[in-house]
Amino acid sequence: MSLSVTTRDAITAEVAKYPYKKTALLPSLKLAQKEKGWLSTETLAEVADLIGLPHSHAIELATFYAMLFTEKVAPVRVEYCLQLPCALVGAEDALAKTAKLLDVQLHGERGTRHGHTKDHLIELHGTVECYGACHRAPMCRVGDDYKENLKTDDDLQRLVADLKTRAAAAKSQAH
Amino acid sequence: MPLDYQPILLPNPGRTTAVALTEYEQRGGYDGLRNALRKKPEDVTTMVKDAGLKGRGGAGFPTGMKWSFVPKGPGPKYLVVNADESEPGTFKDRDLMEIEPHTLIEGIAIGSYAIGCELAFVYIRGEYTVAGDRLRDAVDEAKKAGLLGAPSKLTRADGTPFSLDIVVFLGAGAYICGEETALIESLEGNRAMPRSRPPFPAVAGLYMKPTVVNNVETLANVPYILAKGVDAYKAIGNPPNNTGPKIYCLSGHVKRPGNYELPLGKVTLRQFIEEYGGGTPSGRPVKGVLPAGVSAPIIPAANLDAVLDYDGIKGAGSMLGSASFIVMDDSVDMLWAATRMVEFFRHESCGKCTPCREGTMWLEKTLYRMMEGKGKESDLETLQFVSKQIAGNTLCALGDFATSPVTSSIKHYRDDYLAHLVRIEKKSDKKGDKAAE
Amino acid sequence: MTTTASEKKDSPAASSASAAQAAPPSDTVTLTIDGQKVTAKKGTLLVEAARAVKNEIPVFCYHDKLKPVGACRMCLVEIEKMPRLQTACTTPVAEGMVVKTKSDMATGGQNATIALLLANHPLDCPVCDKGGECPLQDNTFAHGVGTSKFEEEKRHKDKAFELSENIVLDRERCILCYRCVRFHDEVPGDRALAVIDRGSHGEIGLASGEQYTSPFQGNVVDICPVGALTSRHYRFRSRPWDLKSQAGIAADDPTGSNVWIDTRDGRVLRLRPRENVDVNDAWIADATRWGTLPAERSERLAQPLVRKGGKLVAVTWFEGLRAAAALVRNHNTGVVATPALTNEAYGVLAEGGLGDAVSVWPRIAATSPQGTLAGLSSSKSVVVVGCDPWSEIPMLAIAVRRALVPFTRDGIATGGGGKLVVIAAENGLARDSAAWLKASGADLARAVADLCDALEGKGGSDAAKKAAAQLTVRPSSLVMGPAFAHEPGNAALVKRLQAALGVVDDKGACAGFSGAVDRYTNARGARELLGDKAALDAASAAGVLGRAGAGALDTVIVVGDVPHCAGFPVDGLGKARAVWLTASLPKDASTKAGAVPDVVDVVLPLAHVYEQGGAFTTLDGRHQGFDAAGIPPSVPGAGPDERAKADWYALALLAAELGRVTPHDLKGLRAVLSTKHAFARIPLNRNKTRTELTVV
Repeated sequence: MSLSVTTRDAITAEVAKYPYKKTALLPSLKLAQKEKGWLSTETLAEVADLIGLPHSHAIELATFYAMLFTEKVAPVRVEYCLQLPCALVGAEDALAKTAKLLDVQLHGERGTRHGHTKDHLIELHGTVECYGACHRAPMCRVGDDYKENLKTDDDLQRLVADLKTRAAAAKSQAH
Repeated sequence: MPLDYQPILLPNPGRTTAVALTEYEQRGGYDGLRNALRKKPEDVTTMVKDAGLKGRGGAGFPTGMKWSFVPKGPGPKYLVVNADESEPGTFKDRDLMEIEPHTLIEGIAIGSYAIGCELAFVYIRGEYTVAGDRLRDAVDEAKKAGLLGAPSKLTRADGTPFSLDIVVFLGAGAYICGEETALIESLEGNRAMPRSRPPFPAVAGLYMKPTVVNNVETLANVPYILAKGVDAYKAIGNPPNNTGPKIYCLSGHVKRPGNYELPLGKVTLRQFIEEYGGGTPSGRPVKGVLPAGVSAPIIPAANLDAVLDYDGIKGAGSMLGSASFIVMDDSVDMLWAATRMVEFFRHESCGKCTPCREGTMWLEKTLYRMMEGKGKESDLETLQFVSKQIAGNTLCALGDFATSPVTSSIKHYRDDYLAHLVRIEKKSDKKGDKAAE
Repeated sequence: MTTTASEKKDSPAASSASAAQAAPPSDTVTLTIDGQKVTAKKGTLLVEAARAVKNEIPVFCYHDKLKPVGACRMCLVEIEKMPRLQTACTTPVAEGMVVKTKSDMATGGQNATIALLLANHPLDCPVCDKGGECPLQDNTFAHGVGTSKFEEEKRHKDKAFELSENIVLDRERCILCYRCVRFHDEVPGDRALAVIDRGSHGEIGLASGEQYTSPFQGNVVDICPVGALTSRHYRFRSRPWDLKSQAGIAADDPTGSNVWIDTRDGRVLRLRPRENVDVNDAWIADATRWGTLPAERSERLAQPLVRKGGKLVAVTWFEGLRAAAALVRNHNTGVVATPALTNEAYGVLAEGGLGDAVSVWPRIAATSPQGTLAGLSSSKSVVVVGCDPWSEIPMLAIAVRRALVPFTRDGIATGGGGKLVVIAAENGLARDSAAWLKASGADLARAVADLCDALEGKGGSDAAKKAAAQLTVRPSSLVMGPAFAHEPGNAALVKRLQAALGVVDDKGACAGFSGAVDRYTNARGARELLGDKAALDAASAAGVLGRAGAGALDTVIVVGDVPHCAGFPVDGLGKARAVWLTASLPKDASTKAGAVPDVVDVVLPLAHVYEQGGAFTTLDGRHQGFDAAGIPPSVPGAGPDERAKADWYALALLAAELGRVTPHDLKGLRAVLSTKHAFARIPLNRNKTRTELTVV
């Protein structure tokens, strides 16, 4: 399953943007992931070949940066910041309540938790990474979007409703 | 009483939309750049040096000095903006980019002119997609208006056209990219692992060419210096060491968290928390404050009268760093807090050098065991021993950062640790099982 | 080595006086390391400056052939006026610098690194192949505190991950020095390994499903400072203290890689690169390392075979030689010598020990290349035509790459900056090539002519013009495949390309390298000793195989085995009967179908190259001797009469049986040959290895 022409063209455009082609690798991997959802060995190889780099470079980046995935991820990925500023104002509670509302069993310890809905459409994570929204804590990221000020039960209800809408959209898109 | 101060960097508190070019120019935007282009590049550097501007990313290195290290002569030179704002508790560069993108662009343009750069990069953390979009839009606006471009419609003092392109580059999730050589590695398409120095970036940085890496807020300070002059800039703050405005991020146990722009050295930590932050929501007393995200020692309640500037926070046994204040009231278990911070450093350690890679993991494992109620008194020594093995021995500062939550919390809050030790005789005592979380 | 030390370690007082008198040249600086004054060239790293005065600063990630990275923090030292400890492997010397490598502060830093590295190290030394030659062990004893405060559960990772059919990776033992990844990145440039994951989860590997296929894998075992990367061919076979190391020369490499032959009880267990900065530096190809390991001695044929009544029968050497001589005496006889024999063996043949009819087979280039591989590596323009060094002569590919990409010597980047244009079907150096004009067969000549046109400014295709534009700087080199160079029709074209590239200056000197590269171990030795005979095609009318095929010969003596080539010239022999001197047959060759061709009536078993003495000449004319006489070539306990023999010795014995006296000992033979041949005047085992440091 190779990348779409659109993605391949976008990667070629990235290469043209920088004085050295290797700089294009990180943005290109992000473009490929945007299309595929994650980066398989085949996708990594395709991106590396397209830019003209050894495959090893691609796997090195893909496993270093937290926003790149070398394993399949759910279409709706939720990342709760559990770092100090958020944790001090109820992020742990917000994550637990969100999990409960979605009927997700969380695994892992302390700052790192994860779980998913039974239909595998929504993935919940608690992470120790700070996303720079401490003044609007607690918060989580849903894909690329920031969901901030998740303070009350109503806030969480709204979040969960949004997650379910996204999951339904992803499901219908898959069909 | 809050200070009577007109903010410069974020002049519209509470605003969430981006300031467009027309609005920016109406309030005098790009005057600084026009002034700069009428001077020789080296005179621009001298002005920034004289203004006493220090790097706002954390290290506090004099900005003009950094620029002056770039060798003159032909060949490409790069200005790279460090917008990889990932320090827990820090969200000032995000607001600067999302709301005042042109201030940053103007600062980049002035800095580029000073060092002779024609291609600048803004390396934004991958999660800040909104900031990335808004900055790209603003760059396009500036290009269309002829303020940027290769060449732009502006003219340099020597009569040649001013030429600058700005590339907005988004990362992909790695705190270590905040370290300037790791950022350069990442920009080159590598794993973001800090480089050994020498050579220094000013000599061999991006693509092994002379490179200056400046923080977003640092560059946002520059237009004012060029527009209003050195003296006007120095009138703000607490000279000679602490000039100019500073954005303080406030989070944690305060009623009004947020970004507060204040002159350096004009308020104390206590005033800041009480008058600006509104005090703790619980009304409980402050137990401690982290002044530079999680990367500098905790300031205990006894030192809340420290003045908010480089010297004042240093005097309180810590560092101003990125000026990201995380307030903790007395309900906080400092062992729990230290564990959470060490988890962060363990997670973000790039793994290149031994002490940080192995040491953060060791600290985390020992702290986890203590959190499970299996701590021993000797663990405190072990934690301090491991911290000592890391600090000062690592390739970059992340290793040092990782130890300060542990050593400073043991120093100031030893009882919090002792409360977690195995106490066989008090097994029935319910208070002993109160381990936080 | 660029470092000089101003004085010896044991006389610090005398030295400072002499340093004061002799003003150092401007390209050097004087510093103090542990109280000792050291003068070193600017740019020298502290670790190398200290090494020059025999002060070893402990290292893991630092390797003098790789770019320094400062990752492991083992080499932390105290430098006056610097608040933090610095890594000696990344800090260049500076005038007046005062360095303390053994102060409390420095040892504190070194202890810390050991303590942290050992926290998660499995400490399974008793079952680790590296035990006894392990820098982690050594540094722990020398620079560790001896106890560990680590009480947590150790990190668990893969213990025996098979990276390839050659290499096993123990991820628990790995200390992430990245030497292996850096080696592949910097030396062959194939970047065959990667660092996976981040921080304490970091490990060496590849994307799942990707293959580790580099032809240089074995080198990562040598440079791994712990037992993380081990050879599957050597795993659990011996302990280093039970091994004897004998200097040798690679049995299959025309560039003449220097090797250590590690033996136990006379059995060759492994091969390692022997450092020679002028030849293989510190590397060898896997084909050498594992491809030339002798089979178990007990599995190899050690006794001569003679065909009696249609069947091969094992006999004594006395009988074997007599039978061979009977086939030669009073018969029209020719000798086919392979291009992988020792110079001494060619010497016996050149001296007429077995008659005048001698041909080399398979065919080798008629003339030797001009210039040297060192010249090739320092060329600014390189053209490769009709061959792929990467897959054919891997170490030659390394030599070419050095011209293109800087490599590291004593911690400092050097060389590089040249451009490569390849005209061939395959190109293992594609990623480092400025241009690759794909062509094979008859198209090669057309592509070369096209490039010549472009170089001469007489047109040429766009691709050729682009390629030619990369080839403007001198010195230049030309590397040709033998098949292209052999083709008589190409002679003028080759001359034209050489002229267009300017490989030879007005005085006829070649600062780079120019010529056809034979892939056989000692083609150049054959050419230099056998002269015109070597230049002749064995299959031509005047050649031994040509004459045998035409029925003009009764007997052909085939000497040697041909690596990289289908065995034995059985089709070329016509009705002649053959005597075969070989090292390649198994013990049961007499009964094993097809092992010995039907035309062979006598088999005389030869010793493996690593079990004998002699000399090879590299493709650029470097004579390298070796004397592995300490390694017995046959089954222990077997009498001397039942042993496989060195190639020159077997030939000398056969000559003697025919009544032609040739010295039977290596010394005597070399003495005779030395009157005509330079190689025999260079003592065996006197190959230059690491350039000695100059201590002033």
